[in-house]
Amino acid sequence: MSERIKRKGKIPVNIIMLLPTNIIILFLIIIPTILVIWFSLVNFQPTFGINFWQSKFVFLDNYFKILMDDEFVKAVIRTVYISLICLGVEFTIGLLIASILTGNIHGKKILYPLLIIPIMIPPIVIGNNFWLIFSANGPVNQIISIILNTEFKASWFSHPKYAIIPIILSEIWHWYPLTFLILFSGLVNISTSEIRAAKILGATEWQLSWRIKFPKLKGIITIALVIRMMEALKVFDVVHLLTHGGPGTRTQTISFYLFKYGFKYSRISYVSAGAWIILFISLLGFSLALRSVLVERK
Amino acid sequence: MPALVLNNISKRYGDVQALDGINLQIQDGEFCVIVGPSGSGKTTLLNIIAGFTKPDDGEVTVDGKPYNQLSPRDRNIGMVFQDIGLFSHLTVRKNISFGLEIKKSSKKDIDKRVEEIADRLKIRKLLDKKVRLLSGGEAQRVAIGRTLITNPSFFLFDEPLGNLDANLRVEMLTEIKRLHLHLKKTFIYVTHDQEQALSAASRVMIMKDGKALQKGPPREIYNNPIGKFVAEFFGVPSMNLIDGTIIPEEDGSLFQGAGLNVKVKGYSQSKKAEVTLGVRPTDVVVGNQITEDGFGTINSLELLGDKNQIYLTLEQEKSIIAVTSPEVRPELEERVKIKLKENRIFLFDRDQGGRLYP
Amino acid sequence: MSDSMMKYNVRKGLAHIFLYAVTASLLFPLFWMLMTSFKSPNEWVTYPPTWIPTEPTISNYRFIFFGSAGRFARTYSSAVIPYLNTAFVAVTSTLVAIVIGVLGSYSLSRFKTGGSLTLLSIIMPRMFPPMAMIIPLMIFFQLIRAIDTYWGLIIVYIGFTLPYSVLMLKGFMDGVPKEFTEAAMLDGLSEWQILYKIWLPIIKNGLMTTTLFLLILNWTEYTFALTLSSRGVETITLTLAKLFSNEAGTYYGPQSALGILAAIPTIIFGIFIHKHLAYGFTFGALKR
Repeated sequence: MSERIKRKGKIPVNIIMLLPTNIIILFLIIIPTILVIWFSLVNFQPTFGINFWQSKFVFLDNYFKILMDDEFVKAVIRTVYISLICLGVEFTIGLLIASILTGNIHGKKILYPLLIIPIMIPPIVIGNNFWLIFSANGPVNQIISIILNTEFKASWFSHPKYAIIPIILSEIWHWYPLTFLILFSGLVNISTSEIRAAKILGATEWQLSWRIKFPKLKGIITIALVIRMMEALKVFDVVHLLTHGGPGTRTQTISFYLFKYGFKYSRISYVSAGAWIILFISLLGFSLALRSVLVERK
Repeated sequence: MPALVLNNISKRYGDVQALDGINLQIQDGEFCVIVGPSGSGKTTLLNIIAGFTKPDDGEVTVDGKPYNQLSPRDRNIGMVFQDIGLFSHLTVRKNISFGLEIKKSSKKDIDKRVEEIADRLKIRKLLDKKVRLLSGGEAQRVAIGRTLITNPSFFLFDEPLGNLDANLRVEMLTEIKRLHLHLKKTFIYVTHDQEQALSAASRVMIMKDGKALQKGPPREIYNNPIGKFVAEFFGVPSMNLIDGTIIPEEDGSLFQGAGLNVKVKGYSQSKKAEVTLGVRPTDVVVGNQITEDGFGTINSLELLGDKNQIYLTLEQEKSIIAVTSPEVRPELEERVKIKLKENRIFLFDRDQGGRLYP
Repeated sequence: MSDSMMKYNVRKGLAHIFLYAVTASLLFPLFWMLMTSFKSPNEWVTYPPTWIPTEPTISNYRFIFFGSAGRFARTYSSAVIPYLNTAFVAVTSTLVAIVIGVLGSYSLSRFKTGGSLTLLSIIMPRMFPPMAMIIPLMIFFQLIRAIDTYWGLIIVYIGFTLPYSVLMLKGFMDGVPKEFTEAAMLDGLSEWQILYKIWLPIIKNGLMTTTLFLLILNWTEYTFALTLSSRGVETITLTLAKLFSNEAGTYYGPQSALGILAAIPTIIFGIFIHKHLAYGFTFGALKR
């Protein structure tokens, strides 16, 4: 094959084909990335009136500062714990629905697309959805009132403790179809013979899940986790729409923190350092996870 | 006392009657082959025996115990599947040991047992391989090894050799037969390939459209098919079937069809009738030194060493096959005399397929 | 009926009830938005809320399309322009990203160009918090005067959906049987012809899935539109967010109507491709 590619000393066709992709990635990803590195090492604010290439080099100063910033650390921790809660709940719901739906269920063909609708809804519309149902006069308060049998009228979005709940719920709602979809396809793809062979050898339902189904789904579960974590780190739209990070900074996520300090206060260098810290942490985790999957597939 | 009894098993899928009142008694230690064309319900029947499918009606009993309500894992069955179904994420060793590991047997026992089985199936050097690197025949051995580990009281084979090439199929079948001799357990073997059935079985059940057409030792079915379908289906090459008319005569009847005039002495009836004559290829005599029933043109010739297989064309473009001794060497395109062995002729009702004679 | 049959049926019945109940409650937020979009203003905030509008009205939809006079008109006129903006930007950037992605993924799937490192570098961008990338992009865009322009937004959308385009398409392409390519090579087809005449027809479903999936991503995008183009190109998501601004107060009815209108295309796209979506998401790791 290689001689076919290299003949006549021209640029190989596979390189030509990959070129547009590489150019786009270079301009939109690599150059900005390098800029972010530079910003993070200098003291640059557009309001200072100094061009960024002339800004004063401060080395790791920005990194130290932001790591000492309680607000930043809290936003990171908050994002991580929102992500973990979401992942946990989504996998439980996804697995539950997926395993029921693999059985002999009437109306399967209709339920399946209905169940994955949320992933197609624009996040901003999802924000709107939850804004409506969690509004003071909305159905959530009504239902809680009925269950508790007493008047319950929380203002969810301005409540210091409750405000995070609609945000988490909307995230879960938006993303559970991903885990469901992937787990369902994975379960359906396990060969009947393997399941039957295990059953006839005496495996209980539990052993079947633990020794056959789960190990076989490991690869795609990793992928689902990675994709989901990637999205979880970006939680912004809903926060921006519903709470603006408030009350106070109670619902501030990483993305919202970066947005606030970058755009409102123009603290470019500061934010760039923060971005790199997050990048570093997530890249490390993801490339390990993804590598293992990519390598395993060969 | 029969080990396994199927009593009036029926199963419907929508409008399709997959199984229609199947009765079967299998003795302990028998090698029973269920054979039929695809869609005849044989795999459904096997799944009912294994417990994966619940019959609408009828009962499965083993040693007098009702089995219908038992789940597959409590039935103590070994099963080999058509697509083999090895656990693709495990090694060969782990595949074989699966049945004991889930029972939490001790590591020592498991290892000992796995090695025993590996030796018997000659797969010892494969033990630490990943199963997706196995060849078809190796995978088949591992699949059998996997079922052996729990010491099941009987074995089900669902078209296990369907995906193998011809040579390997013969080899594996021999292996399975040897296993049967050694274990002395009941084997139930489903296949659409009646050649396998013939050579392996101590008893055969032929199925079609959810019904059991005929049961018995393979020789008996071969020599004594109850109807046109069984006659044609069972035997390699297939029985020759020739449509024609039967005419009453003084001492028996005369069959006329495709240019043949065949006397059938033992069959007498009052009037002419449309029938199908059946004769095994081994019972067609070809040569010029005989008194003939008719003529045929040699169409092609296969010299198989110990026998010759001759393809002949009769009148009305009817093709038949004759299997003869290797000495018979007609030329291609030669017109030869044909004689059907008198006491080996069958007559079938042309429409219903039932046997009229003998 | 036997005892265990009974148990089996009860369990099956419970599974059905549970699944239907879960589906219903999961669809509740959408149901509520749909209902609110038909409520008249005095029903927006009554307590207890009405689940089904007592006097259904389409005035909210009329408002969305034709806007209204008065105080509110300053921030909101009509959703028609944003709708067209969204459609234009989303469709254009999707098509370009698909064309580039098809070439790139063919190169990766057929020649393994650059090995897994290329793959990794392509998926990396999706791992960056977009907020971190926006600031340098903004500065870069100011230099090339791409802020608040259609083409600026389109380029960003291309760049940030390209990873999905390449990886999803590669997943589908990896499933193309070798024999087809070998036969085509014997026939003397060039690589471009193999891609166009052999591979693309085979991965037709995958191509459509990826295209519609990118369309959904671009249609629903908010962050880049907000930061890079909000003064020049108003997309539908920005319009919806505007309805939440302080000036607008709690315009539940129009918000819902616009939400429904914004979501309908993506739901339709999604239903079209729901069968292949899982395969695309796992980049071909399913099914082998």
